[in-house]
Amino acid sequence: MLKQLLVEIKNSHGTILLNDLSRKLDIDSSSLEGMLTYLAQKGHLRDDDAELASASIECFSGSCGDSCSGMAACPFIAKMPKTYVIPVQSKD
Amino acid sequence: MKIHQHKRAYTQREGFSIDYGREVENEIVKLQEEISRHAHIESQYPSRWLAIKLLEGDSDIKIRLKVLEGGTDILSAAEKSIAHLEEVYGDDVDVVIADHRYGWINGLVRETVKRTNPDRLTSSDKVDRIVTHRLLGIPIFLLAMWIVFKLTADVSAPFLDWVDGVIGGPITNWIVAILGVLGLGGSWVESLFVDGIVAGVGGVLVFVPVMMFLYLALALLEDSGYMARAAFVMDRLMHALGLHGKSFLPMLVGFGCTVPALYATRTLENEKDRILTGLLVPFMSCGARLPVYVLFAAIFFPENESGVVFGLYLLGILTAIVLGIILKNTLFKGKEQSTFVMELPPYRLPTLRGIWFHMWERTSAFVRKAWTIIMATSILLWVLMAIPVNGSGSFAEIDVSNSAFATANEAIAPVLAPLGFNSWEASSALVTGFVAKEVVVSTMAQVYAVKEADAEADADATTFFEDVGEIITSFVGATGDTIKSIPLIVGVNLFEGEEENEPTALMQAVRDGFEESSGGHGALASMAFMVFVLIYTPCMVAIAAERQELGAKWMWVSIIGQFGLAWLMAFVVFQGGVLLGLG
Repeated sequence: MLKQLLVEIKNSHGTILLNDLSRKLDIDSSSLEGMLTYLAQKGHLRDDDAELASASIECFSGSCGDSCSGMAACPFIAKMPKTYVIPVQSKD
Repeated sequence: MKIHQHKRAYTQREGFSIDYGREVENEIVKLQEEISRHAHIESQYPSRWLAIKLLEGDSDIKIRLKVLEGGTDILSAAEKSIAHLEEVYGDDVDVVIADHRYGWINGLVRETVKRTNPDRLTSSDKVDRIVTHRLLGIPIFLLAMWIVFKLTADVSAPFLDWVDGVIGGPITNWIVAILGVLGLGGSWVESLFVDGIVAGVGGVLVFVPVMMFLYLALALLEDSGYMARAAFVMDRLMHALGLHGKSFLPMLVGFGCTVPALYATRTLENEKDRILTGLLVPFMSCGARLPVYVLFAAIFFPENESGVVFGLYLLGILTAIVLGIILKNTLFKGKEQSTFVMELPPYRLPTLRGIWFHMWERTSAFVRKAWTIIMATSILLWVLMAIPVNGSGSFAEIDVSNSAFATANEAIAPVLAPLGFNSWEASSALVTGFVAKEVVVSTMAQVYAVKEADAEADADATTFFEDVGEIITSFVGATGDTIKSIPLIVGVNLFEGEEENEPTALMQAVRDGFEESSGGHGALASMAFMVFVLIYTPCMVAIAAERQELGAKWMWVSIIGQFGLAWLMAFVVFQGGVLLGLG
């Protein structure tokens, strides 16, 4: 099941929406979310939210005046959709 | 969706187990046998559960077993089993186990959940079919942006005038009065406060209502879930153009602030894509550039303010896309296009609390910046404008055009002559704008404020209570006018027939300055100026972020490239406009 999911992601060109993937694989979207989170934990996928969070400290030290509260709480960051990407090393 | 009650033993403790496949089950049995040799361990942990945990490599269980007698035997047996299974499956054993679990869960869902809509389309999915449609998606996105800028430029105007009136009138009067009481009236201290801090910081604070309306519109788009769809639509466009689709995520962040947008490029895996996106992100108009656009659009294009602002935001996106295509096919050539899964949030009705929170957070950050960076720059600027050169007067008692600041910027002005704004005032605003884009407006307010202050000096003196009364009544008037402005979004003008507001002294001074430096083509020169502000370096903090994320080499490429491109595009706008007789 997880393998099938990974293969499907690798074979699709460009962006694939979670709901479309859910319909294609006939997997409930909430189950699919759990599977994606698991694959991200195992390093088969990369959760971009976590990557953005790691930039928090750097943004904080960037000293945008007193207003800078770090990237995790930066008021100027719009809410972006959650994305999972295949890391470069696991593409082959 | 209807859930049927199943009487099967899915959740019963006894008799329930997931089948992990022949190979895994064999190893589980082997481990259970090993565990059963150690009764004290078997009495603590169910043997099947423990075997599975060990095959999954559970670190906590491993630590617990290590200290128990016979634990190491079980651990070494588990290691052998893991090695065997990894050879068989060619993958981590915990992934194999998880795979079976998810398979079981999916089977359970299929058996127990009955869907009333077989095509599984929710209301959000149905709306998405239109909003993220291949052909309709982009026009809908542009329409949403146009409404945002209509709201930002037109509907906020009455409050902008109100804040301008309060800062330029009562607040300035109170400061002058207090300094007079302290015996500092007419001194350089009064000049520092009025021509430096009030003109500089106040010049930016005037735009707080504009920022509030922008953040209100953005909060509505975000909280409703549309912003995520916009990212998906633009992502598809970027893909179609051969760019990395995910580049648009940092670019959308760039509409708020370039600095976090540069850090957001980390979400791109490939280094080439990351650097390319880092070079393109600064072309997205951050919130700090908006006051410049609004000021110049109000001065030179009062009939179509929102259209001008919208056009500039669009120009930034187009510049990024065109430059991206050029760079992708030259310096950053590469075929690799990463695939990713995007999870769109469901549409929601924004709550008043949520909208207010977003609006307040962002506006207060803007105001705090005014009190820190902008105030410091304003004071420094005032000092530089107070220092005489060529023996033309004494400190703070000179014509500002004879100051050290004006003289230094006069040397730069000829470079800007082909762009239509070769005055020291315009060049000084661009130089200080290097610190932060809000400073462009505060510098303009300062370098032209001398004339405005003189004009205000003739104003009739009012009492404190008259001022407070005026603030309240003008606020009520501004609120009424704002409500009347809302139909402007759909093109209905309820102000028709009413007297137009007189331009402020600052607006008139900027207009005169640009008309003079451009040889009568003020509107074209102002457009070229706005294009220059859009394209050149966003701010110092963004440069620091570029250095950190892209490295020193690409930081310099970015700075020099942005200046070169800003000059070139402003040149085309001004000279092209003059050639075509557009203004």
